[in-house]
Amino acid sequence: MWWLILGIAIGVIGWWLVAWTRAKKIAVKWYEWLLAVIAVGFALLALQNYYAFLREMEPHAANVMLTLLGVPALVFAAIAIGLAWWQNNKAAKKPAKS
Amino acid sequence: MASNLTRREFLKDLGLLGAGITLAPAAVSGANIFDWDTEKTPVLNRPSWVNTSNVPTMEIDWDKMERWREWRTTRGSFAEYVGKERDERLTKLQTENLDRWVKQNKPGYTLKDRALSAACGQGSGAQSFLPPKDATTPGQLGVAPWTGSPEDAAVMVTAALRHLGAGTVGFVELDPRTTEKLVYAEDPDKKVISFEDVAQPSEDDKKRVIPKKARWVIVYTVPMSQETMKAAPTVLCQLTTQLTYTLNRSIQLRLQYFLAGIGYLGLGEASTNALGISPAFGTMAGLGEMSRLNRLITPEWGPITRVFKMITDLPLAPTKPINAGIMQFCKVCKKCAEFCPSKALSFDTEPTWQPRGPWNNAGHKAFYEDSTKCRAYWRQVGTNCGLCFTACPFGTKNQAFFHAFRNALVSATPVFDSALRAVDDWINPGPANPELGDPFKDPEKWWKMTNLPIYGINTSTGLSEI
Repeated sequence: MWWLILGIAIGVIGWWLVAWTRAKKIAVKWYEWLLAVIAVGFALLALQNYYAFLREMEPHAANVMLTLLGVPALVFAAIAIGLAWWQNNKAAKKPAKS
Repeated sequence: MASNLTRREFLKDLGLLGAGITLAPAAVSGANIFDWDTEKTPVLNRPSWVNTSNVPTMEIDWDKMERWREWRTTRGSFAEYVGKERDERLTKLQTENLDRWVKQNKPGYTLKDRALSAACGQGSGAQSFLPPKDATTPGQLGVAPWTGSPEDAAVMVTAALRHLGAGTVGFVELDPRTTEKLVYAEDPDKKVISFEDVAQPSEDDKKRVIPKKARWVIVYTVPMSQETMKAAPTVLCQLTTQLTYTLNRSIQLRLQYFLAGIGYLGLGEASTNALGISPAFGTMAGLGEMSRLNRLITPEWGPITRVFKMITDLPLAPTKPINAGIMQFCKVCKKCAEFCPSKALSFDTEPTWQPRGPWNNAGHKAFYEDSTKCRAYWRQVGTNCGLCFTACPFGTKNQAFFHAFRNALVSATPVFDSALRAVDDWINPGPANPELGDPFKDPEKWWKMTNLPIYGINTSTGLSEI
């Protein structure tokens, strides 16, 4: 049940994010979306393994898997957000053609 | 917020949202990605990464194999192999260690561990080779014995056994040139097991007679508690083995009643480890693969399970051996051998035809173990150890996605076996410098786990998703 709720939440947040970037006229390249999806994938794997290992009564293994999968999630998310921010910032600074 | 979206964009996003909602739960519930395969094994659904095969992953030379005398293992002949003096010295050491540790309150060897271990040995049904005489037969009910195809019979027996407490179930047809050689020539009590052209089985002081019409072996696992096993090599760890044997005595008796009730013979194990070679029958029935432990490793519970068998005249469709990459992984892993405190297990990279001693039966290419070293350590700690089972990367509870990922990868290719062993060292490191009898995991924490499943076993393992 929790996974269903999480799935719906991810779907809603994803839809809102797409709509928000368009409303704010933030240009997001396809590969930045891909990086974001990979980040979400790693985050979900980190969560699943963390809680499942806790259920297996293996807290050490839970922490290891959270690190092994959580760090890539953060790295991919940071690259996706950073790239989008950098490109939009660059575009904003560019003088408009007369 | 999305007021500037066109209708086309809105509909497209709505579609994306739908796909997201549909796929996201499947993505996060990773264990379901490797779903169960119902086609390859009609009797019991197995994970899809378990491939069936016509031959087991362990090579067998049936011509060289002879029916084994069980009492030649170290269970029955330890004193002969190590000498009477050493045997007596080890017995004395066992008594001294257990006595000292219970008084010291050493975790895993305390009074409560000893009491629960003793309790686990109680309450079992009677264990007999011969079927019960008081079972209600079809004749007494005025009907004919059950009839059906061997496939139907296999499904029926599997359903019955699952309900009686078995984990996985497989079937082997006895062939005098091959699989019949896995039935012991002599049982642990040195009684001869003989196949004879008679209508009914019998037993006297020297012999157990199996009618030649009884050609099928029902092979089944009874899982042990992985969490309890993690207390290896303590008394607390030992009780899960003890409990499984106790449970099986009831399962065996009930299976014998069931078979008699439908009009067929059920010839059971007269005592622990009797009748035939359990790992060998488990391998031929496809319940698991032979391993560096020289024991069975199953896809469902790793090595943390016991294997039992019963011979019957009910025709049953045989199940095939499996290849899930387990034996291949064992060649690289070697973790059990490293964790074995007595260094009894083989460190060779490849299995061999050459037995390590008279306690091994020849005729199969295996990682033969030095059973005397193993048994000597058992005697020192006063338990049946279990550290090799505990260290095995497959002996996990299989809730985390990582396990499904590892199993699928191991089955698909041996390329990542070393890397997977390295990951297992991170997540399942074990104690750094254990002293004699020190546990893999703290037994005192076990005593605070009030939410372990019944018998410490996740009984939903091996079931298909509904």
